[in-house]
Amino acid sequence: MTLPASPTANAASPFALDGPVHHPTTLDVVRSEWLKLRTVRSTFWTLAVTVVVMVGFSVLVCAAQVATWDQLTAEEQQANPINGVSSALAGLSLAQLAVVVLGVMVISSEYSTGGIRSTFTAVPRRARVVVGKAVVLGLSTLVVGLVASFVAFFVGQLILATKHFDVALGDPDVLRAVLGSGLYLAACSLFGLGIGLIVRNTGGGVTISVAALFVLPPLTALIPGTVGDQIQKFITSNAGQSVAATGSAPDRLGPWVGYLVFTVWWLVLIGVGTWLVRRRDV
Amino acid sequence: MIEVEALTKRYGSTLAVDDLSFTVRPGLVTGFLGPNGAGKSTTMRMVVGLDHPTSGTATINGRPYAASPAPLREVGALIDAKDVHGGRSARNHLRAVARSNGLPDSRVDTVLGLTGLDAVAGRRIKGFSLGMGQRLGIATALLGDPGVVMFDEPVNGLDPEGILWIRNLLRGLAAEGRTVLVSSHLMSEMAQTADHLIVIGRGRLLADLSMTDFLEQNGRTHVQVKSPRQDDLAPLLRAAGGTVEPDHDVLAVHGLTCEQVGDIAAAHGLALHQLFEQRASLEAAFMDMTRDSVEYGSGSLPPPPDSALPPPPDSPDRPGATEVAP
Ligand SMILES: Nc1ncnc2c1ncn2[C@@H]1O[C@H](COP(=O)(O)OP(=O)(O)OP(=O)(O)O)[C@@H](O)[C@H]1O
Ligand SMILES: [Mg+2]
Repeated sequence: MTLPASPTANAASPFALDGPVHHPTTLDVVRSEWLKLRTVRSTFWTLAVTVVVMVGFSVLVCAAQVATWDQLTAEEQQANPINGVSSALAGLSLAQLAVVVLGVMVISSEYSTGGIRSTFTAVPRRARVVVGKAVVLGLSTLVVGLVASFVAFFVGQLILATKHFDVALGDPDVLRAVLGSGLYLAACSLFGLGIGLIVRNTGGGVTISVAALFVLPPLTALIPGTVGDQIQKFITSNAGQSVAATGSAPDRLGPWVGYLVFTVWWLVLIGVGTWLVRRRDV
Repeated sequence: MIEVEALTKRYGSTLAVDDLSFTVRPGLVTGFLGPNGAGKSTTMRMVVGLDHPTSGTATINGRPYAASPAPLREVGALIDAKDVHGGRSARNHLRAVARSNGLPDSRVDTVLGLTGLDAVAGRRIKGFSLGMGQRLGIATALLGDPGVVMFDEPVNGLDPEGILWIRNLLRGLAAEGRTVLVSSHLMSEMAQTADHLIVIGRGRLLADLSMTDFLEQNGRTHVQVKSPRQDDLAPLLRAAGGTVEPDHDVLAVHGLTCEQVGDIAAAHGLALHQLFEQRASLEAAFMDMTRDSVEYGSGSLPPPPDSALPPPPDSPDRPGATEVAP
């Protein structure tokens, strides 16, 4: 490799940067984080999995329901009526794991590669980095989550329409639930970011996030008494997913209350994570 | 200007940096030396705020780095060339760093050209050689055209051409009035690059002096001269005030400069076949300085068998010796 001549004592610096000094802002960090997010492969893969899982499960579940409906007895049909929204959004509880992995990796991959030291050398105000990452991650997963949810919804309805079980966006709560599914996926990525900020490594972050969103919530239903009921309602994904459900259920928070509770969950995690990241050596 | 004031860093039971104070001034290359584990990297990490001091302060242009309104315009640091996300291309890495400080993308091409990385800019950093990684680290440090430059062992992994390039780069940066702090293990390398020296051992300051002073104190020089008329030359040099010892077919002259020896020979029409200045080993002086503070001593090994032999008579390169061109 041949190197160009070095700057010499008398020549003007060959790399002088002219013009007034720009004082970088959080917006500059957002632009930097946006470029970083779209230039690593894990972003593409996790988002692709999110879409495939959402649409794939919609097809599988709706097709299976349509195919088996006629074989059920009248009592069985009455006990398990087809809900066009929940069938079409059946992939949500798996797709949430894909976005949560992305959220963890946005920060943990920088710690595992050492890239975090480049990042914090360039932007020593570490809270700005967290804000930048949260903004680009939240917006990207919101867009992809909405696309995945709407595609899953429409594909599901096409299949259900063969037996006239399809619902329309204009039906009560339906539009809110489909939008809510996208909103929930975005929130899950931020939940993962919060965990990632705290534990700093991919394996630990993914394990904890999966436990917190996927394993623990069903288990809380086993806690007896009214305290158990409350824990069950407020726990992570139980609260968050209520925004993507239709109809009301006694064991569930209202859609927006639930979403607000989940927002508090990830805000607290990111807050604690930011506090730790600022204190710790890198 | 970098100012370090009573800086102390403790990792658990390890005292990595111990009440260290020094100032790095603009316009000079300041060499930062110390044996392995002396605390050089830790000090540099604290200067850019990556590690928090246990006590004491490190400031750049009078304020902590984290308070800088335009960090990359103020400081360019290469702490560890491996501190990058290997999945990205070099160009995208540089773009991301540039954007974070609102620097135009054109800066990326400038520093890629400056470090000779244009041809590999599109490749993933993961596949880079040690030297390419090092150049990328230097490119990153120079993005913001910073007034303060801090490199931790920049020659690590570079080929001879790269080492020479770094040396010229550092000298050029200092000549432009920038503050340049560069760490190394090699005193001989620093002797050719640095104007000022800061030596630490076990986290403590051992020396803070100009390179000239260091060389005067430690670089005892003498002149080696080879002549077919050695026997005629020796008495003339003695008469001029030098002490002369024959050493195989060369004369080792103390107390006279190369110029003086050459002039005397010319005045008497004596041919010279070699004339150069031989400097005592700077590495030896450096090791003397840090002997008591070496963290990871190598134990005592028996000397290799050939070290008992006299040096080859024609070669100015002796083990541990540094040649300085006259
Ligand atoms: N993150 C850390 N955690 C624990 N100990 C550390 C850490 N970083 C450095 N140390 C210890 O601090 C001391 C100083 O290390 P440092 O890397 O600063 O030395 P150095 O002068 O850069 O050495 P080298 O020449 O080998 O690069 C060593 O004893 C090292 O083991
Ligand atoms: Mg080091």
